[in-house]
Amino acid sequence: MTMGFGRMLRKEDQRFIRGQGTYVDDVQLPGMLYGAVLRSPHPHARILSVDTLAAEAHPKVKAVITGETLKQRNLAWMPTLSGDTQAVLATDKVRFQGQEVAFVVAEDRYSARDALELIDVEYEPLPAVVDARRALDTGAPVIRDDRVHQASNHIFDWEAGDAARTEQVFRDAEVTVTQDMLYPRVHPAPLETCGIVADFDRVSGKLTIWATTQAPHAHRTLYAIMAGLPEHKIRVISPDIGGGFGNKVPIYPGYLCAITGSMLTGRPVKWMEDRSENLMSTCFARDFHMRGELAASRDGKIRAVRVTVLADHGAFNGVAQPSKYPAGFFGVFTGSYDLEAAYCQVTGVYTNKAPGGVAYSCSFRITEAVYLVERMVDVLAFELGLDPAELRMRNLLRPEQFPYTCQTGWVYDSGDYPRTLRLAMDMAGYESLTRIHE
Amino acid sequence: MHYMQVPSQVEYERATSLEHALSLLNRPDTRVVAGGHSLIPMMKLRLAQPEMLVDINGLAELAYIRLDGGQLCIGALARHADLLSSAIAGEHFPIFHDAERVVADPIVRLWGTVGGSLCQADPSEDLSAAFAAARAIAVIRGQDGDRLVPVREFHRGPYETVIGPGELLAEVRVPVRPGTGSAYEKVARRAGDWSVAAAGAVLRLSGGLGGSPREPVIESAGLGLTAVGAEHFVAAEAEAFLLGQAPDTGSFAQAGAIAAEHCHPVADQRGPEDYKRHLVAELTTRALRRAAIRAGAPKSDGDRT
Amino acid sequence: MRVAVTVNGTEYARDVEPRLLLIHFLRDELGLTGSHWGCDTSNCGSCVVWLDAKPVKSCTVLAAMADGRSVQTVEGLERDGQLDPVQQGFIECHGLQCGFCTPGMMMTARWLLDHHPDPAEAEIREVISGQTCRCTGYENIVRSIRWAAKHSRGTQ
Repeated sequence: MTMGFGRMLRKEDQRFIRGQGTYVDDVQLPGMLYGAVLRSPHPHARILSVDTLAAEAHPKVKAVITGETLKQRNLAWMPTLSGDTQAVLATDKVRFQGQEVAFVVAEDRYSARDALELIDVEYEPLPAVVDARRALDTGAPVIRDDRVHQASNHIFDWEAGDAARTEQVFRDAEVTVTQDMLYPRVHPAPLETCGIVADFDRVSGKLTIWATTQAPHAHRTLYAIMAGLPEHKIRVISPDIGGGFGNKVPIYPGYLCAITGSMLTGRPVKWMEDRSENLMSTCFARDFHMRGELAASRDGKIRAVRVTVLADHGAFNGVAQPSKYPAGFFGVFTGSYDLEAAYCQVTGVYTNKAPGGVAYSCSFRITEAVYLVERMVDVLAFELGLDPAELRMRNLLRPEQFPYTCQTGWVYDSGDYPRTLRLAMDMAGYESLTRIHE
Repeated sequence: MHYMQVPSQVEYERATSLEHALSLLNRPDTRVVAGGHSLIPMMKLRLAQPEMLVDINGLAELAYIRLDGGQLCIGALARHADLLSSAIAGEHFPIFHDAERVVADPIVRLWGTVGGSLCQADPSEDLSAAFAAARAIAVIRGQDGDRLVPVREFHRGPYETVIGPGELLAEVRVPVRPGTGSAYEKVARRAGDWSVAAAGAVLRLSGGLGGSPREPVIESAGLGLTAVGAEHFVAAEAEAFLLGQAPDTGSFAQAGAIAAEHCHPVADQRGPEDYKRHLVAELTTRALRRAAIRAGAPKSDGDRT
Repeated sequence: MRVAVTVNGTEYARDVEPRLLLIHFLRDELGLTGSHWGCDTSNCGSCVVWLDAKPVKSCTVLAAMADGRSVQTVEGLERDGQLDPVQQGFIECHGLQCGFCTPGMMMTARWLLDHHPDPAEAEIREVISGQTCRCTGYENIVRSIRWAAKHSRGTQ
């Protein structure tokens, strides 16, 4: 099989196939200590007390850090990549099941875990919001009462397209179809979990970090802000990484706790989360409740697409994305079709779930947008009794229409969509597949 | 909330002989570790926190699969992979091959033991239903000698067996009878997963075989069910129905329906209750059909061995 | 307790807690970090090593159980500066991206080929079915193992 100009063997394979890669957990420094995180069993609860005396008395424990410890150093809250703040360690309340409550630093990983069982936290459980569709109900518990002026669980509203014109097309269209759909929460689950080795040198005031990070520069900026160190005193090493898929873009509380632990003990501190922690507390993707609508003529000409979205952002809006749009690139829901009008409205809400939203190669909401439009086209095909591929063929943008400005303002540069679809259908043996279904 | 992921403190002893193992097992909170692939994961979650582990991997005298006095005798330390590759086991009880093929994954099967699986007593354990269908006998060895307990009486409940302090499961035996066919059918959500539901059938037919002019009739039926709350992993009512019936599609379908009616599946992340009952009916029917063919009953269209 | 394990032909003895898992013994005590830890439920297989020449998920074995026995890890695949055909296969056939599952996959592959030098594709897929890769989609892992089957040591 030829690939491009021929196969070029990867340089990094030389170390990986020998087991000589350096992933964060492979880093071992003299005097290194190990951290472990105590997590909340409740999705929403007030913290009444945190008793760490027994943990601190464990012979192998060097430090126990709580929200209170961090609060005294102004480290209990950190900025997120979406302009929100996130608790590093909970102080007043816990806001999702699995949220970080305390951090133990001990001589070895097993003792650190043992010491977690010695920490006694008293909680007062509160009603929780776990269904995004209930988040804006009157009387719904306000999750982010730490935020000034936050009277509900509403985060943002965003829209794109022309609402009035779209409504007009829907009014006089011969056929309209509607479909509610959930694009569920998905976790990137890289095989290597998240972790860090933080080494603060008290003498030079320099912080050296090995971390599972896809965005070392962003991390350095945040650590500089939080630790009060100038950026040139922070070195972030992003060594070999066991997959990221967006999960390793955000800054997680465990990283800051490890840094704090190193500053407190004067020794390097390693924190590696386990798989359960990774799945329950780190950045997820999707979680879009969508109501899609499509307006068309009876002979199968798609005229307009409209969609209303409820975006579940969890307890802290930690969406890691550099676009200026709170719903990323969802505006491309107009798809590959020539439309008269389109409109979308996205509402973001807080829930008592793990923080964040899409990150990075979880596509900045393009996946949700494409799913939405293609699903609606299938729904229309079913309604009209037309073959889904045939319906698309009738509506795809034609090559001569490029460059094409879609209804939400994006300019499509070039393309030959009908030919591409035809090629895909031939490769898949579409005709024979449809015969099987008859 | 914290998932530990590493065991709590434990003491470890390696058994140098069976007697040594039995004397250690007299102590409280002391557990056998063989393959460890059921126990150690539970220890990592700290759902199991024994004081001491007795490693019996060195007791080679417990690792065998052989025919002895008309019985298939499987030593407790026989690994899943051993049972899967055993020609004599496969010849007399293909149900064990069918079941082992779908237990965990090939690497885990190199280490997990037959005895360990039965003693773990997980309600979703495939071998429990397979041995129950075969009406196997558990040989429990103590310092005073052996006692025999039918596998159908071996489990007290989830994660609980009748093995007492100072005792060890030494062997599982299954009587071999001519005219027997067996099979196991499992549905799981992904490769290596626990069953959503599974059914095992062991049939003994008489008459109508090898060219005899009489129609075959079910002389003995064993039906095991996995992961659906069947008492002692057995579909007793369906077994009773099958006695004396012809081994045909109608009987098997009815047996499946009876089995589905009398088990107690619970809705969980593997599936809702009605789906599990549906599986019980369908898988029981399929296992019976394959068992009958293997016992020598004539095939009909669409049957597979 | 004192645990002595021969790893890749060298005997190592350490004082460890009985509860120490073999994967941590190899990684933290011996510094052999080629085998990895990826899950909590013995599902992912990134920890697969050989214990007495049979692949095992080393996160599900105590180091104490390996006392007096021999372990082989990915670090022992290369011999006298020559890569094992399995290692070469993964390079040739792009069988890895991030490399985290790779040592475990290769140890299982090496064992398979030692016992079944010419496996059918279905056999290859079955033998790695207890291990997870999050990057490649497995196709190239299967190709890499097939390549290794066709190129035994010394014929490359």
